[in-house]
Amino acid sequence: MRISNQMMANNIIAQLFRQTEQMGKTQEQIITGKRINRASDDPVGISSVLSYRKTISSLEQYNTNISQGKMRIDTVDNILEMVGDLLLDAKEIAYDTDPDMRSEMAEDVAAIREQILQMANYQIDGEYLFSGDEVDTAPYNSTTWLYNGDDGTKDIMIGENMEANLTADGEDIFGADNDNVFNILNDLQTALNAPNAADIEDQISRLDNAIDNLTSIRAREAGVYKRLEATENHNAYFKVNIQEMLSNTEDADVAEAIISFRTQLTAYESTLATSSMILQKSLIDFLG
Amino acid sequence: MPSIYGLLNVGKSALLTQQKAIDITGNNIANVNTPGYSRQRLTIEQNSPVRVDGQTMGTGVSADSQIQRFYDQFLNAQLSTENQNLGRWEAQKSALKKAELMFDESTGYGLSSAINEFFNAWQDLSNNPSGVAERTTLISSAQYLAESFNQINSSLNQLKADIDDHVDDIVGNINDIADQIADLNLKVTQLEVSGYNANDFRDERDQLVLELSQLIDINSFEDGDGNVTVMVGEGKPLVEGSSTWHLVTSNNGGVQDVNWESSNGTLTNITSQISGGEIKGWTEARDEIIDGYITQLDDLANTMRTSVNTLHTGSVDLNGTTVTELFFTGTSASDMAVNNALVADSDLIGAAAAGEGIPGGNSTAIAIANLQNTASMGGSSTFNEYYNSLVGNVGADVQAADFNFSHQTTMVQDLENYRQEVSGVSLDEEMVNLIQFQHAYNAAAQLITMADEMLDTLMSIAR
Repeated sequence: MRISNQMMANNIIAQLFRQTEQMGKTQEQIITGKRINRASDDPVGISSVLSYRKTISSLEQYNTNISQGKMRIDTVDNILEMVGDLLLDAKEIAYDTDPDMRSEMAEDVAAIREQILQMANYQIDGEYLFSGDEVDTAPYNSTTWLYNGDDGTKDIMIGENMEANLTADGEDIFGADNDNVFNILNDLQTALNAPNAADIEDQISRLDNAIDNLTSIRAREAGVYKRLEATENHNAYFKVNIQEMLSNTEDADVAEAIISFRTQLTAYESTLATSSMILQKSLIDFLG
Repeated sequence: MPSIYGLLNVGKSALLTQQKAIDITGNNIANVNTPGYSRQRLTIEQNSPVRVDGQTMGTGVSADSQIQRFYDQFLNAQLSTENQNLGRWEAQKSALKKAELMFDESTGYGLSSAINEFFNAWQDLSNNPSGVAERTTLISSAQYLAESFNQINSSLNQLKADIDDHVDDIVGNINDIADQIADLNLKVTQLEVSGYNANDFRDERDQLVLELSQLIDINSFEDGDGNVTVMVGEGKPLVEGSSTWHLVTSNNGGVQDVNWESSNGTLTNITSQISGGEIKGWTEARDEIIDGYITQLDDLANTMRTSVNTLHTGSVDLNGTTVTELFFTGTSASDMAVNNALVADSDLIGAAAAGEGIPGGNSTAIAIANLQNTASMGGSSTFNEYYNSLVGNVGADVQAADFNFSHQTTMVQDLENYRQEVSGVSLDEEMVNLIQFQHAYNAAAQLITMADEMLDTLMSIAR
C-alpha cells in the first residue's frame, strides 16, 4: 500500500479529533456529574428522566397537600376533644341533684355554650373550620345559633385521582337545627332555671347523643388521618425509590468516568507521541 | 559508423529528459498538500534506434508529451456519491443539534417542569381556594408554562429562518462552483485538443465536482471532448461544456425553496427532487423534522389550552359568579397566553364547581389538577408522557444524524485514503525518484563531458 503524506496527516488528524471528542464527552460527565447532558446522549433515558421528575414533583405536591390535611385533622380533633369535655361537664351538671345550686349551674351551662360556640366558630388563617365550603362565613350565629355554612367538605388531593374528604360541615358535628348542641345546652339552662327535673333529665340523653356523635366523627377523622399518614409514608418511600432510579438513569458514575478519562488521555498522549515521530521523519533527514 | 556527435545527442536527450523528470518530481513535492492533486509522472521512452554497420544502436531517451496522472475515476465517482451523503448528514446533524438545545430538559428547567409546576399550582389552590398567594402563584406558573411554549415555538421558527440563510448561501456556492467548472471545461478542452494534457485543470475540476457533491446531489459524466456535464434535481443541467444554468432560491410557504432557472428564465422548483448534499440535510431538517416538532408542540399546547378552558368555563370564581372567562387564550404554541382578565383580577379564577360553596369549594381546581394524569393526548398519553416522548424523539433524531454523520465521515475518509493511495504524493517516494533522476542527470552530464574530451582528443590528432 502506498502511503501518501496527506493520508498520514489526515489519519492523524481524524484520530486526534476522535480522541479529543471522546475526552470532551467524558470530561463533561465528570464536570456535570451527569451521564445525560442532552436528549441525544440517551433518548430513551431522557424520557424516563422526565417521567421520574414528574412523579417526584407530584409526590412532593401530594405530601404537601397531605401534611396540610393532617394539620387540619389535628386541629379539628383538638377542638372536638375540648367540645366533648365541655359537653361531659354539662352532663355532670345535669346529673347533679343539689337543688340549691341550680341557678349557678344554669350559668355554668350558659358559659359552656358560649365556649363551644367560640370553638365552633374557630378560624385558621381567617377561614372558619366548620362552615363547609363557605369558609368566610361564621358557621353559627351567636344569638340564634342558626347554621350559616353548607355541607361542603375539605377536599385534598392525595394521589392520582385520589382525594381525602375532611369534615367541615358544622351541622354534621354540632347537630342540626333545634337539636344542635347550643339549643340542647340552652334547653338545659332553661330547665335548670325553671327548675324542671324531668326536663333536665331529658337533656341528659340528648347530650349523650351529641357526645356519641362527636366521638364517631373523631373516630372517622382519625381513620382518615391514618390513611393520610399511610399515603404520606408510601409517597415518601416511593419518592426515594424513584430518586434512586432517576439517579441511576441520569447520573454519571464519576469514578468510572475518571478512570475512562485516564485511559483516554493515555491513548491520546500515545497518538501525539507516535504522530510527532511519524510526521517529523522523512528520507530527507537521512540524505547527506 | 557510430559518431561522437551521436553520443552527444544521446547525452543531450538524457539531460533534457531527466531534467523534465526532476521538474515533475519537484511539482509533485510542491503539491504534496494540495487537496485533490494527483501525482504525475513523466512517461519516459527510448528513442527509435538506428541501424549502424548492421547493428541496432539506441539513440537515447525522450519524454512523451503526455504526462501521466495517477488517478482512479471510479474512486472519484464513489467519493462524489458518498460526499453527497456526508453533506446531507452533516447539515442535518448541525440543524438538529440546534433544535435539541431548544428542548433543554437536562437541567430540569424546561417545559416539562413548567407543566409540573402548573398542575401543582392548581393543587395548591385546591388546598386554599381563596388564598391570594395561591392564585397569584397559579397565574405566574401558568404564564411560565405559556411562555415556555411560546419560546420553544419561536426558537424553532428562528432555527428554520437560519436554515433558510444556509440554503441561500449554499445555492450561491453551487452557482459559483458551476461557473468554475464550466471555465475549467473550456481550459481542459482547449489544451487537450492541441495534444497537451491538462492534468492540473482536471485535478482542479475533479476537486470542484467533489465540493459540489457535498452541497447537492449531482450526476456528472465526462464526454469524449473532455467536458464534464453536471446535472442536478433529476436531470436539470447545471454545467454543460462551457455553459452554466443557475439555481435560485424563492420563498414558498414561508421557507426558501430551491429552483432551477432555465435558459429563458423560467423557474422550476426542484427542492423535492434534491436527494443529497447539504441542501438536502438542511431542507429535510427544516421541512420534515423541525416542522414535525412544531406541530407536536402545537398539539400539546392546544390540547392543554382547551382541556383547561373546558373545565374552567362554567366553574365558580371567588365572587360566586359562574366563570365565562377562558383560562388560556391563543390558537397555538406561538400565542398561548393566560387570559388578561385573570391576570388583572385573580379572583376570576374558578376553583369551585357549579353548585359548590365558595370560597372553600375546590372541585374545579382538583379536576384541572387531575388533567395531569389524564390521557388527553389522543386518548393514549398524558401531557407529560406526550412531551417526554417528543423530547426522546428529538434526542433520537440527533443521535441518528450523529451516527450517520460519523459513519459517513469514516466512509469518506476511507475512500479518500484509497484515492490518496493512488493519487497522493509520498515525499519519501519523490525523494527516491529525485535521487534517481539526479544521478541519471549527473551521469548524462558526465557523458557529454566525455564526448567533449573524445572530440578534443580527435581534434588533437589533426593539430
